[in-house]
Amino acid sequence: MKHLSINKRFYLFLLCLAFSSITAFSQKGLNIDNAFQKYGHSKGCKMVELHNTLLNGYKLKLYKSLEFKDKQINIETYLKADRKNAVKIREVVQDGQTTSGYYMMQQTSNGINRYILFNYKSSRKGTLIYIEGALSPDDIIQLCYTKKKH
Amino acid sequence: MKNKEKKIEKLLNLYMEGRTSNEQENFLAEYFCNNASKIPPKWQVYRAMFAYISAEKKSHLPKPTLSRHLHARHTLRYVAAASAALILILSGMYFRNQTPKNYAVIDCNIYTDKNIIQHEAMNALNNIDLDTDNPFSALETLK
Repeated sequence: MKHLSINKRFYLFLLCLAFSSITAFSQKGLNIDNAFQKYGHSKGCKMVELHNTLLNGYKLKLYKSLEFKDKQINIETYLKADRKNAVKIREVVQDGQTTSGYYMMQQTSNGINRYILFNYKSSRKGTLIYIEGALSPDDIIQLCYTKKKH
Repeated sequence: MKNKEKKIEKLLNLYMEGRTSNEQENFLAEYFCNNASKIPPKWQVYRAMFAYISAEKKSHLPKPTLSRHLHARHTLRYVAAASAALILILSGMYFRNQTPKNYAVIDCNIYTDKNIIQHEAMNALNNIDLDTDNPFSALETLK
């Protein structure tokens, strides 16, 4: 019986390891990632994901955006959770509600800067952007304020 | 033979009086179960009774403990479960790698055209930039 219980513990540990590997594989450490996963493939939403790309002349390691229109999406919960871990915060509050803002998050272990930008006037229309790259805050400003003709 | 019959008769009398020991009862049960053809007609009733009692005793015997063979079978089940989990992980990793790195999803449709992706990415950035009050001017404080 002792021999069997040791084996049983080992296999249970293996199973737990297997399932934890699955969850670890899909997390990037930010709560807004849940918003991308949950709503990215929904009707009424647009999601873009770019890796190691050039946007507006800036080299980005990762760019993710989520636009929603005429769809009830509550991204506040995710933003509030990530806000707690932000290094720098800037928000615009209108009529007591945060309508836009950006959070500079902690760098990754490789020294990559991370930014969360968001803008939503209501729960039915808004934009959420996540950027990773060697960009400085100045670069982010330029990236956001450079208008391109398409 | 007659001596044995006398012994049996004596034990049966004691049995009916409730004075037999366990060994004596087992002796009687063994006799009636194993000598079916030799039992006199007057004792057929006792044969049926001891047959029933023997059957009852067998049904209350403790279940045998699992043999090593069954232990191995249980272990194999856990191995199978662990293997299934591993296959699940590997399958997930394989299918995840199938998703294009650069893509756009618009109303549940996936687009990999570079122009479409760039266009949508810029649109999203412009959405944030459109506010005339320039709420992102404070980005300058991040310097």
